[in-house]
Amino acid sequence: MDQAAPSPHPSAELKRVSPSNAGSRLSASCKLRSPPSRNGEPLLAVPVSRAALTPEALGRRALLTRLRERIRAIERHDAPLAPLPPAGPASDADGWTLGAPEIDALLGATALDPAGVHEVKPAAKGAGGRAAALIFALRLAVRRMRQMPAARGRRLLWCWPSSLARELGRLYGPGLASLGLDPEALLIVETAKAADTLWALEEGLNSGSLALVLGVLDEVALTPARRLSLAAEAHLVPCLLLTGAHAPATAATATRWLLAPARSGAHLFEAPAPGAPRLAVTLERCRGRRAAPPEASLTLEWSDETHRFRVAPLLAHRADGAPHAGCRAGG
Amino acid sequence: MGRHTPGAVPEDEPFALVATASHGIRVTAVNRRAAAEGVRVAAALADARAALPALLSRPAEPHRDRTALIRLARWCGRYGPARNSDGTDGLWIDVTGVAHLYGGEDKLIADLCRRLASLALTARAGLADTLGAAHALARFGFLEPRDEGAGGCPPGQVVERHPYSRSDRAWIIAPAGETRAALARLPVEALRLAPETVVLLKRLGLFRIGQLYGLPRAALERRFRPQAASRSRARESADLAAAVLGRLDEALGVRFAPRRPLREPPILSVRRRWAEPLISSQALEAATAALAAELCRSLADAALGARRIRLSLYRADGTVAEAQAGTSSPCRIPAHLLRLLKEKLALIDAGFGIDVAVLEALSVERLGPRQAALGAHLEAADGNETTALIDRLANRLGPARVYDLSPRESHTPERAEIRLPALWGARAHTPQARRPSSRRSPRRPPFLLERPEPIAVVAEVPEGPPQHFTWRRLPHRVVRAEGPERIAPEWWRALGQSRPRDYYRLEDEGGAGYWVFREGLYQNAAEDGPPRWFLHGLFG
Repeated sequence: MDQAAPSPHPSAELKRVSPSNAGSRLSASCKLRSPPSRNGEPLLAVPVSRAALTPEALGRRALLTRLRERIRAIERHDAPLAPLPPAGPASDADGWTLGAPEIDALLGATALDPAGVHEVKPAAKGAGGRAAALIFALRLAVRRMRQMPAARGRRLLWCWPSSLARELGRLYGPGLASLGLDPEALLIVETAKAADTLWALEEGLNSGSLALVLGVLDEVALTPARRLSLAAEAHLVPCLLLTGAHAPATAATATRWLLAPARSGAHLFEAPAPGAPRLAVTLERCRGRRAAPPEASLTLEWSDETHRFRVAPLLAHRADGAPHAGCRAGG
Repeated sequence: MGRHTPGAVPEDEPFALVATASHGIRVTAVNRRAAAEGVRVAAALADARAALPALLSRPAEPHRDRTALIRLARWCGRYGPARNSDGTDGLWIDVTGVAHLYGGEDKLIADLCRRLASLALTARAGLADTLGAAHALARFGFLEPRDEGAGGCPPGQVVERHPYSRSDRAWIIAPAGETRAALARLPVEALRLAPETVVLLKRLGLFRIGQLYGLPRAALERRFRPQAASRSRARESADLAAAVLGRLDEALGVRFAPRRPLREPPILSVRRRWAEPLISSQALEAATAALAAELCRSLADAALGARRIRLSLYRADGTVAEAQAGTSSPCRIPAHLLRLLKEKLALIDAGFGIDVAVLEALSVERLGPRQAALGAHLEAADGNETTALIDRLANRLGPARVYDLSPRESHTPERAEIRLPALWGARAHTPQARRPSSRRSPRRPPFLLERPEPIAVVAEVPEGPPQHFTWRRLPHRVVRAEGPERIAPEWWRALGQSRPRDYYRLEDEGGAGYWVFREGLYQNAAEDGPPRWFLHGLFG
């Protein structure tokens, strides 16, 4: 019996569904996403014990709701919580989503904030892990360029210090094209120092004419991150900060993603070949929302044809099976 | 004789600079006191010491003198954009169209001489219609009567003061159109001729330039001929005559004399001069803003936009500070140009103050007129904001650090793409290059290492994909592999040096993707050496 499905009988001995484990539940069971609005308020408003219905409990509930509102306001998440947009291509027009409803549900109604700083960071040290984080960011950029009408025809700014470019390799146009990103749209800046990268990022955000600004740095202190976040907010240009594995967490970012490479899916025709690329993704922080606990991560699969993520099917040999049939807990 | 260390040249003691020549140490320059004592340039140091035991000497440093002269020539840009050094001890400046800024040629040259004197340089200046004439006036117009014989005049004939010179001035100006008269009395050396030609002319009795004026041109060549017996000599004499006449024509302005300025003169240039040198950065910024506005007005009048500009700030102490900026598209928006220059202004040291500022457009492109009323509004729109961003980034970080990716027709992965500086603005001009569609072309990694890094590989079969590899000292176990994709070297490029490559896409047990290749074939191992493995890109 699925725990999350609300019982029609109020006295049923169901545990209180608290949002703190909503994330892990999401990764544990995909049925949560239908009906689609099972997130935020509706989910919070399912206290099923009798005590919750007493007047004083109702008062406490109202107090809790008010406090949550205040916390939300403090965290500068001004948009009221709207019900989840229906999953599927219809949602593409109004937000910067990943395309996988399971993880988009974690982000809430606004999806990825197009006026905020998002941090993408590898879970472990090493060039392979770092490249995985960078490629996840590039795929987010692909989503952004294809989803947002405002982003079309605009350019992307990619800034990094040349030391990192030497370590990980330079951006390669044919490779970007196979990801789905137009290499001509990229404007690449290689700086001598990390401080110059931050300056270039801020200039890029302040110009207000770019679709997206991506910066690769080993770590970003709170003050520059906050500056970038203010600039992004003022000019409605999103910024992706791709930090190193040991970067200290900053509070200035709207979301923080933790990335690790994962074994690819099965190849359709050639068994020993790598199939559709997969990544283990953890949403470590999401402003205004409780994010999934760090141990809960989703394995996402990227499709080069549809340019969207989806939760990797559990069964190894069902590469093109029903996408929502099941999903995996733990990366 | 300007020395780099102040006080190195004693004022009141005889002093000479010496250099080692083919016949011992020779004097190359003397100070006034030594000249008065009779020490001559080109005399042997031993002879000079014998006559004047108190003579002090130091070795000459021609290369440092040369550097100092070039630096001075740069500073002379305040008197005209085209200027360069003239020989080892002179400068020339093209002051066409500049004199009115100083209130006339007289005031300009007076200002020049005063400033050079304040830099502790003794200068003689000549101003004439042509470079040749000015050279002659500056070098041979000041001969004192005492210099009898030294200036090349016939012995016994007293050299009189040049009619245009005045004893209280260090300069001679030949008024426009009076070059002939001004040169007439000068010795033939003034024509910049080779020494043996001068000797020949003197042997023929031609001592002054004026004597050449009336001479029939054919007759001059005939006069040289008695010296020449053989046919080769005859050609030589014709060459000599042609050289003399050519130099004469150049000096008189009959023939154009090519000259090479230190730098290409700018296309448009605006300048400001201040009586009091500017020191504060605010004043400099305001001055730059005024110059930028003026330059943009000139650009608008000519329907041009600047691609490269240079701000030269002439300091009062004889040095120049420069700031250059480039734009990715033709631009004539003062605020934008100012913004680009402002960042560099912060790095400029005003020193003792800046009294002349020149803003030049070095490279321009056509830019059609825009509606003035709407212009400011339109130029804030998206496209221009991006080019303005490129300009700002490239001017601060360096043009090569801000680049676009551009495809190139090649199968060799690292040659399939070039990085074009965004400042060149090539992306806007070239039509969209055709990239092969991503579906059909083989997979490529988004990150390509600058140069392939060697890896140690264990493979199951020699021609097969690796099972283990070690990259950057870390072992990786391969769980999945795709390949090979063979890329043959381009036969038109250095055949024999490059070998075919077999590319594999690998996935290690952690899920990270790598693009590796094996260079060379096992069947050719006998000739080419064993194949080698490299890692070329990251798939992530």
